[in-house]
Amino acid sequence: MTNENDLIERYLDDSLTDEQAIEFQTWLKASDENVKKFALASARNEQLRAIVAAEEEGVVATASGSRDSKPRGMLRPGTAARGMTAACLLIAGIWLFSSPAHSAPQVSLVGSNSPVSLRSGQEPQRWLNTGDSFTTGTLVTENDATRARFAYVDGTVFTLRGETELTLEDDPGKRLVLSKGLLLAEVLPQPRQQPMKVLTPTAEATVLGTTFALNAETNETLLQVRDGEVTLRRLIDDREATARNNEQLLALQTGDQPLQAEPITDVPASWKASSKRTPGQTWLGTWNDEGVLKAVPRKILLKKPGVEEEHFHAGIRSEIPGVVTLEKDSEIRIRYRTAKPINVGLFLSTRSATWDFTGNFQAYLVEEENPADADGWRTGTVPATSLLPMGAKIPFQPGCVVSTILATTYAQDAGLEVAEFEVISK
Amino acid sequence: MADETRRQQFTRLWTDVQPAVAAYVRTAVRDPHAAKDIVQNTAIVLLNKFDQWDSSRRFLPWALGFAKFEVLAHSRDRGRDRLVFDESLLGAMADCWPDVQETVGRERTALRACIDALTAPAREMVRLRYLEELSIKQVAKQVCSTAGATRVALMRTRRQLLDCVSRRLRQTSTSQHEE
Repeated sequence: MTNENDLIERYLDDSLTDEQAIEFQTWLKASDENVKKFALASARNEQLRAIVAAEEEGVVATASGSRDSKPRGMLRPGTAARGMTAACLLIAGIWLFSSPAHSAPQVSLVGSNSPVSLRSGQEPQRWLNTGDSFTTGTLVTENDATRARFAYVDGTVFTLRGETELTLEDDPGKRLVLSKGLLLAEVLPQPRQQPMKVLTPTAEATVLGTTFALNAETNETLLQVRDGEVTLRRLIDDREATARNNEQLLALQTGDQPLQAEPITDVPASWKASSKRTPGQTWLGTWNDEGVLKAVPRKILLKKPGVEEEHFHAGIRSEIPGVVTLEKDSEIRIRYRTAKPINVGLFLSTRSATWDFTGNFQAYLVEEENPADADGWRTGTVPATSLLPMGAKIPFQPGCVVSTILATTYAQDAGLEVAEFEVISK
Repeated sequence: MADETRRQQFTRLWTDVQPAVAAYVRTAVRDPHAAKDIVQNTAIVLLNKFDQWDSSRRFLPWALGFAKFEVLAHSRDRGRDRLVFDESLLGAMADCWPDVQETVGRERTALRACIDALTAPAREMVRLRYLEELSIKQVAKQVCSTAGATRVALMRTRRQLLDCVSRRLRQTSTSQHEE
């Protein structure tokens, strides 16, 4: 969920994604105070535009009136370029001489939809509140649906999604260790001699200024770069490769595959579950020898009333690259059985192609509507258009990418098994 | 003569409110060329209907009412491409716009001084975005940065300006108290 100030800023910069536009409209409609807050921000923005334009007219008039007069107001491009270079060198110089050794940059929690904890040295673990700042420590998010956003003082932002463990090291540069989970980052240009580095179990990513997603598992790291470039070094053999705009890199623990950037391909519009795993996927459940996925208990934090429960899930999660693209005519088909009569829930979490959250959805497989065969297997089919939005009630958007799809008996251990699970696009 | 007097009155009133109406339209319609057209259309409509204006009412709210419909007409003509502002939101914005303009108007002088105090890189970015009307991506290309970094830098500059304006207004208010 993007905070309101961020939504306003993105609107003013024409940078809202489709999902954010819906969030923004929802926020505006929530109260007149919100409209007024936005109106004030926009009016200020337009006043800035008017003053800049007026100053420029003053410069033109002055320049045309007198050759000796120095133009005030906005700078010309050539001057600006030299000015920026000088400013960067000066800032770098001040930074080099004034920063004490081992003073890690400060980070703040911008917002989170689930609890985030910080373990720091000898201090006890603490739960972070929005606005809390820190420099070092290990951030842990335990909820599958977590979206926690952080910002460095220089404006670099990163988001942790799902169950993630990220350590911020005591170093003047940005040194992160992503032990597991998904990190999305928009990194401002960093000093060449001190790029941001993210270490995972299998690779080290070097970032100078870019927008990327990094998914870490014990035996693989998947990197996708939307904008800019990231160099990835595979730890097992020190091989390096660079991913640039819309490219990805996969670093395996074994190191027996070439480390080569490839274009990020669209997530297909059809998918069928099988015990074979592809990079970036995590199965929620256990496969038996007959190719049946059995539900396993997983801790779920319920926002209301803020308690933890154990729910039984059988499904798959893949933030990047994603599971399947849902189109308007997509259908979800599942062949399942339970040890006792019970309705089964379907849950989907979705995002856009550019990693923005596009809503959570659910559907119900009603026991009476899906009769069992002789072996107890039932088949349910759910059209994508009949999925019910959850939480923020973001409506289903055709073309969204499923990052999690699972069947659940919620808190009941009903022996849920899934023999077939697929998404079909007609 | 009466017509001439009426036209002069309209011109005076429209000159006063045009910046506020333009700002309202630009808020809802992000394409600067389309926004200019809408403001011009609004002016024409207002001129044609000026006889209906009750001079006991403020001109700006009345003008915003017509601007709102011009914005809606533009949106209908262009088809539904991710519209954020529907009629109710446009109406809510028009309702608060006069008060918002008053607040922002009081900040104008301070804002000019604060813009002068920006660093050269920040002023250049502001110039490219607000004067040249470049998109974030285009600004990023000009300053050899990424779109994300540019967006954040502009956001920080706007916040710096806001803080600077607030400080200046507080100083002005304090010195006025001390006089």
